[in-house]
Amino acid sequence: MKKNKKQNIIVIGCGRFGSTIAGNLSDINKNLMIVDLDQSSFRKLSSSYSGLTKEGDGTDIDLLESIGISDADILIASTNEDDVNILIAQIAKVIYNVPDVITRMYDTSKKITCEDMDIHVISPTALSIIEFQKRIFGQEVEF
Amino acid sequence: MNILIVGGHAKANYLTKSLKDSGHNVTIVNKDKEWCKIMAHGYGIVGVYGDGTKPFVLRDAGAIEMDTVIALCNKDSANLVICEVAKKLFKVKNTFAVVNDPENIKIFRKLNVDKVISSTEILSNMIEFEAVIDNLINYLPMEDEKIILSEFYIDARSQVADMKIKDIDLPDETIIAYIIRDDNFVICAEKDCELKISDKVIILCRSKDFGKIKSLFYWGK
Repeated sequence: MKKNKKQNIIVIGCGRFGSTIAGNLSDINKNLMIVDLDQSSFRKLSSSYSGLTKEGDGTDIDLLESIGISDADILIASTNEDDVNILIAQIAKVIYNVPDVITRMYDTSKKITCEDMDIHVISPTALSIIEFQKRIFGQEVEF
Repeated sequence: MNILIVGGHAKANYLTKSLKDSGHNVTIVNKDKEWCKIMAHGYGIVGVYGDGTKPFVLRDAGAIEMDTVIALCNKDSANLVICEVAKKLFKVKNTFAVVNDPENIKIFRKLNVDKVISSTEILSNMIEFEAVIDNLINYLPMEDEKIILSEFYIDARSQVADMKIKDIDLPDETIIAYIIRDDNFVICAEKDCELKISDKVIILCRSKDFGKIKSLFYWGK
């Protein structure tokens, strides 16, 4: 991690997840840019959010270039569609070599699409199952 | 060959018909249940109802047995996922995707989709070239548009009409492959061949040289 430079973080998809994570990251002094198809989604951002917003299609490479994807340190794909998140994450990693690419994926069976690509996949489904199993079995169970 | 067609209506219908006619084994996957039934009954093929981006749906459609998977969904992202699941999970050799955004052609190729076409791009090429240059019959960019295969009609107004090939000031590394005269192929082995009016010429060149080729073979500016 770079110590002196502020990290540039791009979040694509301003839903509950995207807006919250963007708000939290902006609170700890990161350079934030959040993208969503719908301008009105940005109302979900907390009032303390100090980053930038951009209305548009996050799979469009012209848009991604205009918001400086080449200089991004972290990209978070958090739209509500798995397929779109996969496309965005792979563009960020393969075309622009973004160091840290994180994508949300509901359908764990699609994880294979991002295998061996150095993309971090976070699956709400898998995380919930782990938590439920912890409750039921009283211990951590491998998922 | 075993071919799986995922998504699409008119395109899938036409492809199914022509692939079946050439003796291939076709299976379709579609989100439209009624349409699946119609296709399955109409062509006597296996129709699987479901979302083709989901690995279990592709598995049910026998993806593991497929030689080729063709993704025709309306969403580019869905077509990418279909091709990647087919390739990575089911080890399908050939994956083929249709995309809307021409920018996605090079992205999908980089992401190991074997063949990518964009109807938007084909249409824009056609408009750009065929409307502007009416003696350009065919225009086909290859290898990420590094190379262009083109076919010109030789008009009385073409600069090169009645010229010998060796006398034409062609850019380096440009190949005049064939001359088509009276619907017969004339292989152009020697430089002494003469281009006659109403010939058709097939030319291979680097895309940076296409402007020059155009100015030689096109009768306008």
